[in-house]
Amino acid sequence: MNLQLITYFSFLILLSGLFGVSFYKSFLSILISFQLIIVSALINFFSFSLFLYNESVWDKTFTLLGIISVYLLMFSIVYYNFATGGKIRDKAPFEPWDDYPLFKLDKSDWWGEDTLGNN
Amino acid sequence: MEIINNILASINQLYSIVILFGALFISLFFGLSKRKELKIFIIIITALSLIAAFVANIYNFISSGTFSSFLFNLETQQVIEICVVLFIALNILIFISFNNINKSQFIKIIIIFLFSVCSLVMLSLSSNFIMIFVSFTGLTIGIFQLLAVLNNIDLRSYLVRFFLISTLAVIVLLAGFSVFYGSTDFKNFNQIFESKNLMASPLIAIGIILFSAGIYLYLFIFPFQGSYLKIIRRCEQSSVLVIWFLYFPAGIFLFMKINKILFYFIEKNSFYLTAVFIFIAFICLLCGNLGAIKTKSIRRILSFIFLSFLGVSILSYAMVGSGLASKDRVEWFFMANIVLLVLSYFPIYSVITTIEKSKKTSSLDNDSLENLKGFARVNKYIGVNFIIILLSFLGLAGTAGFINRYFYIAPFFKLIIFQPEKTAVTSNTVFSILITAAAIIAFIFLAVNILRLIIVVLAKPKTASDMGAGLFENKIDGNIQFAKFYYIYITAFSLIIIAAGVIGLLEILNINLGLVPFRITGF
Repeated sequence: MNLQLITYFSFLILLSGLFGVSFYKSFLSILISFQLIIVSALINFFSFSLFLYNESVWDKTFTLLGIISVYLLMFSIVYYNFATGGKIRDKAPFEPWDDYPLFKLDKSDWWGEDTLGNN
Repeated sequence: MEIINNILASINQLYSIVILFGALFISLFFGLSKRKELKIFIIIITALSLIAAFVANIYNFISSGTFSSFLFNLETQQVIEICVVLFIALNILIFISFNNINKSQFIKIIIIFLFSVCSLVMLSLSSNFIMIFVSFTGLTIGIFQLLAVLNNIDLRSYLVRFFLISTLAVIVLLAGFSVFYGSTDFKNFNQIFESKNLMASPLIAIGIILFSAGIYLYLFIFPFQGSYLKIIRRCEQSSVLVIWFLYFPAGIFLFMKINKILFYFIEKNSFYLTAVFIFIAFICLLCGNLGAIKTKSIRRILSFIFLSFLGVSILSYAMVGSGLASKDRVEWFFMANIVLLVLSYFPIYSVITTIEKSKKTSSLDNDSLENLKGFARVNKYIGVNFIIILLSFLGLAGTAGFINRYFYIAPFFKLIIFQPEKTAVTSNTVFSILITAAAIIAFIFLAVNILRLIIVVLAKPKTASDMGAGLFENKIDGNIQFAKFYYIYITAFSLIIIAAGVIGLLEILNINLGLVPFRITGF
C-alpha cells in the first residue's frame, strides 16, 4: 500500500458519500452517506499522519475532538427525530414527511408563495 | 494569590469568553427551575454578562493590544466580530425573553443560547484548525438544540432537513481539513499562507475547494436555499433571528478566515476565479431579489433579501480580482453588510413580531404584507421610525445603508475618471463593468422591495368593517398596541442608523469632526 493509492481510495469513498447524500432521500441512507464522508476524512488524516508526519499528536487530537463533535451533532439530530416521532428505518409504509431529500428543488423556493403545510 | 494572578494573566485576552462561561455556569444551577423570579434573575445575569463581555473585549484590546497563541488569535478584525456577536446576542436575548418567558424550559433555552454565543465568540477567536472545527461544530449543535427547544414538533421535518444540510457542510469541512493536513503539517491558515511554496500544492487547492463548498452549503446559498426558506416561514418568532444572526455569521466568519488564501488564488487565477465569483454573486442577487418581489410573506421577503446580501458580500471577492477593491476592503464589506442587516432587521422584525402576535386569525398568513397595510398612519411614532429604518436599508444618503452602497459603486466611477483616455479594454475593465452593473441592479431591486414595504405601510388602513372578524386586537381602526419597550428600542435603532449614516457621510466627504475615535468607513 502506498500513500497515492490510499488517497485515491479515500477520494472514491468521499465521492460515494456525496453521491449518496444527493441521490437518496431516506434518513438512514443520508446518515450512512455521512459516515462515508467521515471515513474518507479519517483515512486522509491517518494515512498522511503515518506516511508523512511520523504519527503526530496534533492529528490524533484533531481526529478525536472532531469526530466526537461531529457525532454529537449527528446524535442530536437522530435523537430529536426519533423522540419527536420521526421514522429512521426505510420501511413501508413510509410517509412523505419522513423523506429528507437534501437538494430537492421546489418552485416555491424560487418564485411565488410557500404554502404552509407543503413539505 | 500568585496562582490566581497567573491564571488571570494567562486568560487576560479571553475575558469575554470567561465572563460568558461564568454566566453559563451560574445558569446551570437553575436549569430545572420554573419560577418566574429566577427566570428574570437569569435574564439579568445573561444580559449583564453580555454587556461585560462587550466592554472587556474592547478594554483588553486597548490595554494589551493584539494577541496570538497556539489556539487563539486576537486582532482588530476579531474584536469587531466579537463586538457584533455580543450586540446581536443581547438583542436576540430580548426577543427570546419576550416570546418565551412563560415556557417551563425557559432557563434551559437561555443556557443553550449562552452556549451558542460562547461557541460563536470562540470561533471568531480561533486560529488553530482544531479550535475552529470544534467551536464551529459546537455552535451548530447549540443552534440545533436551541431551535428544537424553541419550536414545537410540527417543525420536525423542516428542522431535521435544515440541520442535515448543516451537518453535511460540517462533514465536508472535516474532509477539507483532512486534505489541508495532508498538504502541510501547519496548524492554521496564516502558516499556510505564509509558506508560498506550499500554496502551489494541488492538495491546498482541493482543500480550499472542499472548504468553500462546505461554507457554501452551510450558508444555504442558491440553489440550496430550499430548507432555509421553508424553516424561516414556519418557525417561532425568535428562532428566525437565531438563524439569521447566530447561524449565518458563523459561515461568514469562516469565509473571512480563509480570505488570505482565497486572495492568493484570486491573484494567481484572476480571470477564472473573478468570473466564478461574479457568477455566484449575480445568481444570489438576481434570485434573492426576484424571489422577494414575487412573495407577499414578510418573512420570505426578508429571507430572500438576506440571501441577496450574502451575494453582495461575495461580490467583493470579484472586486478584488478585478482590482476595484483592496483586500482590507473585502473584510470591511463583510462586516458592514452584517452590521447593516443587524441595524435594519432587528427593529423591522420587532414591528413584525408585534403585528404577528396581535393577529387573531389562524396562523396561515400572519406574516402577510397585507397586515402592514396602513400601519404607519395609525401608529405614527413607530411608523416614522419604521420608515427611517426602511429608507436606510434602501440606501438613502445620510443613513447607515448608504455607506456600503457607496463603496460598492464609487470605485468603478473613480477608475473611469482617473483612467487615461486611450486605455486598452482588458478583462479587468469588463469585469469591473459587470460587477458595478450587478451591484447597481441589486440595489435597484432592493430599493423596489423596500419601496413596496413603504407604500404598504403608508396606504389607507383597513377599517373594522373591511376586516370582517377584525384583523388586529384593537378592532376599531387597526391600531396595534406596542409594548413601551419597543418605542425605546426602535427609536434607539433609528438614532444609531442616522448617527452612523451622518458620520459615514462626513468621512466619505473627508470632513473630520472628531465625533468618534475610529473610522467607520474602513478598518
